[in-house]
Amino acid sequence: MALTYDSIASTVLGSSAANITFNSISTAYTDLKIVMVVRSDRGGGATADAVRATINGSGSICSGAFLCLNNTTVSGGSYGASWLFNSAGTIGQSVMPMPCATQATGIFGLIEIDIMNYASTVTTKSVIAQGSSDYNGSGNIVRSVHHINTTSAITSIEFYSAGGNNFVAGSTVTLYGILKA
Amino acid sequence: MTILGVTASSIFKPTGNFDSIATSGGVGTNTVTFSGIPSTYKHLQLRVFTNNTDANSLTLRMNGDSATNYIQGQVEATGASRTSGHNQSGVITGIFLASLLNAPNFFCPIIVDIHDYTSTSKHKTVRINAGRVTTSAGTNRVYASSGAWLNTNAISSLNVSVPGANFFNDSVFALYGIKG
Repeated sequence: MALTYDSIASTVLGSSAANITFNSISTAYTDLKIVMVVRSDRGGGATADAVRATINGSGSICSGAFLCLNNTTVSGGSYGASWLFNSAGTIGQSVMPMPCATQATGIFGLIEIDIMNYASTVTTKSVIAQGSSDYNGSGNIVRSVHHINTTSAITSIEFYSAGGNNFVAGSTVTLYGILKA
Repeated sequence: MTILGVTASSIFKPTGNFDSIATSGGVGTNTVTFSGIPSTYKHLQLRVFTNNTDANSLTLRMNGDSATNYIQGQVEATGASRTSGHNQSGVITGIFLASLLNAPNFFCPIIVDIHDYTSTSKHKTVRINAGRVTTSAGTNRVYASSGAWLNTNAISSLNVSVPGANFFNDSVFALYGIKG
């Protein structure tokens, strides 16, 4: 029997990778929680990269709203009919930044994603996500909410760099299941 | 609808450090109460997935207290517009969670953390991450807030309610206990 708070799967990259994928996700839980500690190899003096994800192989069923602190600038916005966290391959369109090669070695970003009612075959899905990265004098804080426009159970999630870069070795992504009574 | 913590979770025996205490679907009602919350945990987490046909505020109260014994600060984003504010004691009669909206098949996600809920020497501070997303960018909301119930009693019940219409069918109100 599934536990109330269960580690379903975990990935720790031993070498860089273009994507991190969870397939055949069990539908035995109520919510999914994904905890990411990640960094990309994007170089060229860029200040950050960003994360985006497909849901059940689709990059067009998500929409969302976000509140972001980027260094000292507060911003907000919405997106529609896209990948989770937006972006059609453009880093600046993603709402979920992550550190990259420009940042000091050892600095990784923290992203926490809660997908509510993911296994339902009746309702669409809602997501709360938070991101935190600090670069010793700059950084990002993100609070966001998203909608996944499918009544199918979510059985696969695939994470990418929004700019087509790689997650570096040491990046960790863990998938948890949360089960209600 | 009142859910007794022990009865609703009778099929689950506490097995670890994160336990499901009780769950409600909020069917046919606009209020859900978790009563008889056991004092054997250190923290509580309330996870809500709901909406209703009236555009009203979803509110959290502790131990049935509907007086102005709550305080709350909040940052809210509506598209590119951001607002912030704070309510001192003597103003609000509960903790605001989210503004619901009549958007069929869209459910607001809400996660509430209440740390040290059994303390008899501390006011009860809560942290809320919530929002709503619909087909219209202008009605999307992101809420990040913190608040407190100005009472040092241990929390034994939680009530989540909205004035007006009942919660959508297929809503989920789930209370979890976290051991310390």
